[in-house]
Amino acid sequence: MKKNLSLFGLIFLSLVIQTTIVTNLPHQQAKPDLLLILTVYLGLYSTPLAGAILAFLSGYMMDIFSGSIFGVQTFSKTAIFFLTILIRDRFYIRSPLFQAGTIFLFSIIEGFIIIAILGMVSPIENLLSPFFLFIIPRSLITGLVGPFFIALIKCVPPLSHSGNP
Amino acid sequence: MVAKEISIFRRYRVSIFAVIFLTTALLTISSRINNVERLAFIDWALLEITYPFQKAVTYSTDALGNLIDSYVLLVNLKRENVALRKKVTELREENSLLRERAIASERLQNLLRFSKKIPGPILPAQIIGIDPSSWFRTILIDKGTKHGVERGMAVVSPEGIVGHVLQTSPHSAKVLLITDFNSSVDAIVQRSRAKGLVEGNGENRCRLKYAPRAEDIQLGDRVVTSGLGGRYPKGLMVGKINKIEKKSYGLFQQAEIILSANFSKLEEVFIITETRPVEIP
Repeated sequence: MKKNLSLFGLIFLSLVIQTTIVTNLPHQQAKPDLLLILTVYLGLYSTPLAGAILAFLSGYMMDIFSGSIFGVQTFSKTAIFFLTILIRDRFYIRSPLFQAGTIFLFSIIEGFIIIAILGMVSPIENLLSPFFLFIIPRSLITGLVGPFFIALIKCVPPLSHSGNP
Repeated sequence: MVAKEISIFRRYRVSIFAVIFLTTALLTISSRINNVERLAFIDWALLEITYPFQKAVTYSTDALGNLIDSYVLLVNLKRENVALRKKVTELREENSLLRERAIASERLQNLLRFSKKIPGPILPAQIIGIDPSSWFRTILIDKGTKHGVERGMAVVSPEGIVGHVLQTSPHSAKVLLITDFNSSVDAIVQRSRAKGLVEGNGENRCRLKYAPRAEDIQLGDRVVTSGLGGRYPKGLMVGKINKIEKKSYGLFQQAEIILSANFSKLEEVFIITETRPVEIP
């Protein structure tokens, strides 16, 4: 419970940072998605039910602050959480390098999920344009920031000894 | 049966959760797609809760940003300040050099004008040293026997007489100033033509001695060389009477003279290489 509350606090804090400091960074395209990193963390270290609820909430909260179609981030973050759960026992993703790669890959997948949903709601003419303009730079920076952010999360006392659920 | 169901649930719980949560998310999209502007209570509540935190973080980051900007500005200002200080120093040095050149130019023009007044041949010389002792008053000039300087030659400046050559070496000469105790110059008071002997007193002043008591000497009278003795040309300025000492007894009167030549500021002098008596027009 304490761990899940701490995680919720972290989600809230990350959301505040994401909507204030990160949005004020100079390069609009290359901004790390802290909540995606947190979702991957949840997938790696949380129980399926608690993690799913927190991932769902993190996406939901992102949606509140996004100008896009409501629910897109909720869906994408929840999907990323379950994808992480799916691979966490099959691949070794505890080392920083593999974490960076996984976060990069999941960031791209999330980009595709969002584009796909947006495409279903209102057709997008050129799908490759947002891929190169936003998804790749954003995924790269998120992948780079990921291991550091996860290391920071592990510094929070209730989460410092996170192991396999 | 129940145990079997629990077992199946445990086995597929991740998939079940995935289906439930993803479906819920899709339903959320579906429910909001036609009501983009509608704000649910939970959305409104979350926005309200987040607002003060966002404001605090934004305020802090702005303050930090301003602080960093100010610091960068200060660093730039400091750098600019150092460069400007350096420039000011350079300009001051240049200004000082130009002033020095202007003063030197004026001084040389005065020397030139003065040299034209002296009828005989003269040799300009630079003062290269001053007697370090407090008892003797001598200077060292950069002309010696190689330049035709001989012992006893008169040394003058545009303002007045300076002294005479005491010792010579090939490239320099020592000049005994008229302020030295051992110096004496035959002089006259220009206005009254009263004769006397100007002797040094070791300071920057001289005394007019052996002037007959009956002679008319007044404060401010100009004292010039008499030309007697053959060392100094006649009519060279020595100084002005500053103080008269006439006692009620004795044959002579004495007077203190403020010298025309400012010995503390002398830089160049002229050596009169003509040894025969000449008269200043």
